Amino acid sequence: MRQSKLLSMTLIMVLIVILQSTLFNKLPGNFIFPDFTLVIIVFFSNGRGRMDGQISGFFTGMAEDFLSLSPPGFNSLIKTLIGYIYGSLKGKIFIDPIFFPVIMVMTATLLKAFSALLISALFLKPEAAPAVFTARFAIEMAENCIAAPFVFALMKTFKFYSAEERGF
Amino acid sequence: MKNNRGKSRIKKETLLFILLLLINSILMISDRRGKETPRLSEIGFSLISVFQQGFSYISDFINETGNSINELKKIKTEYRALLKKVSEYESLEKDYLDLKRENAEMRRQLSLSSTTRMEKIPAQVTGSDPGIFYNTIIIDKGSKHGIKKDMAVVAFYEGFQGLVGRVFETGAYSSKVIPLYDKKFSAAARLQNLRYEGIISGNGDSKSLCLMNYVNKNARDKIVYGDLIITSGMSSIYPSGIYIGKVRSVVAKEYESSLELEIEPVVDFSRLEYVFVLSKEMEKE
Repeated sequence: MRQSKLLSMTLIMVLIVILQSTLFNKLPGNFIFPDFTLVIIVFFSNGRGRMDGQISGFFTGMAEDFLSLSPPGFNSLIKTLIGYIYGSLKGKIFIDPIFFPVIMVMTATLLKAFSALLISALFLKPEAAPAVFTARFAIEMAENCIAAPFVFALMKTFKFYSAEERGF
Repeated sequence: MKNNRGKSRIKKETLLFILLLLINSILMISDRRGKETPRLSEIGFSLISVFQQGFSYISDFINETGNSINELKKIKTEYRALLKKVSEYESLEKDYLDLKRENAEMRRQLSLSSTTRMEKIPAQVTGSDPGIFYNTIIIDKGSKHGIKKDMAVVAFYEGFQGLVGRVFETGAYSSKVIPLYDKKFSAAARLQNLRYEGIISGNGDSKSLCLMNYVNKNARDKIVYGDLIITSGMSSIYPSGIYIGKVRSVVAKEYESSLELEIEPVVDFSRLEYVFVLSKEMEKE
């Protein structure tokens, strides 16, 4: 049961990565979209714990790496880290409909940026290191925060964990 | 008993976390060292791009079906305009054949025995980078179609053959292209009329202008707004004469020995649908 939930959640997130790369790209206007997989990983890890959080983060990040010019392991490492950290918060935070989703996703987005900087410094050649704190990042962070309460509310309807599993 | 089980679970989770971090670190280190095997990225990209292409074709089909009624009206008007153009081109074709014959004769007299021509492989843009840290264009042709790393990618836009970027990585049926506006992109370029050379590089965002550096300061008073920039052919990747962009501003710093030009790409990346990959297989004429 546990594995099937983890598998289905990971597949959903890989599907979202493909959608972000394909369908969103075809929408007019060259928009920057929220990082939906990050928001979902925060939600899922917080509900399911470190084990499921880091596994889903690892595979989702790997799917992103496959479709990106980023070196393999770059996004995977970031999302694994986020899955593990937010999984550690399982049962410690009672998530209200708006405030905590926004705070959690905002910190996760900042964590993503700082880990990208750290990974670049540790593992990447200077020419392969991405520019992190850009206008695009600021827009994405704002969008992530706006999207967080809606995504959390939507994910709750899927019942990927019970109250007992969350530690309440 | 319950406490022991909890500790063992935490231990398992931490061990797995360390293992996953190690896997990712090894992947990045091996990529940094440029190791070709095992190319996990290429295999993963080939697999996932199959699904990506499926989504792309479905969305295109839905879009095209929705737009087809409007398209029919447009086609009727365009048809009439095209008939007129065809008659104009008929006379142009005759001129072209005369010029071609004349050109061949002159080449023979000047002993320029051969010219090189690049084969164009048409491809459709199926996706872009799912994140914000990198810029990627994904096309639906890969190594099975003869595409190799570092081939130049162009698109036809408003009558120009404009530079899009170069192939960065190939999967079996799709490829990743590094676009002109990416910071990691660079190409040897020159001003089409003034012939001054420089290096063009991206600024990291499709909406921002590209930069052309190392342009001789003597060109400062001669460059005008809108001057065209083309590839110089100095590198082995990009053949000469491909349009890159138009000059939008000239930055001349007193303490620098060269000029910096801001360039607006001729290709509109927000509307990019079809591209051509220039195959390095050269044909002798």
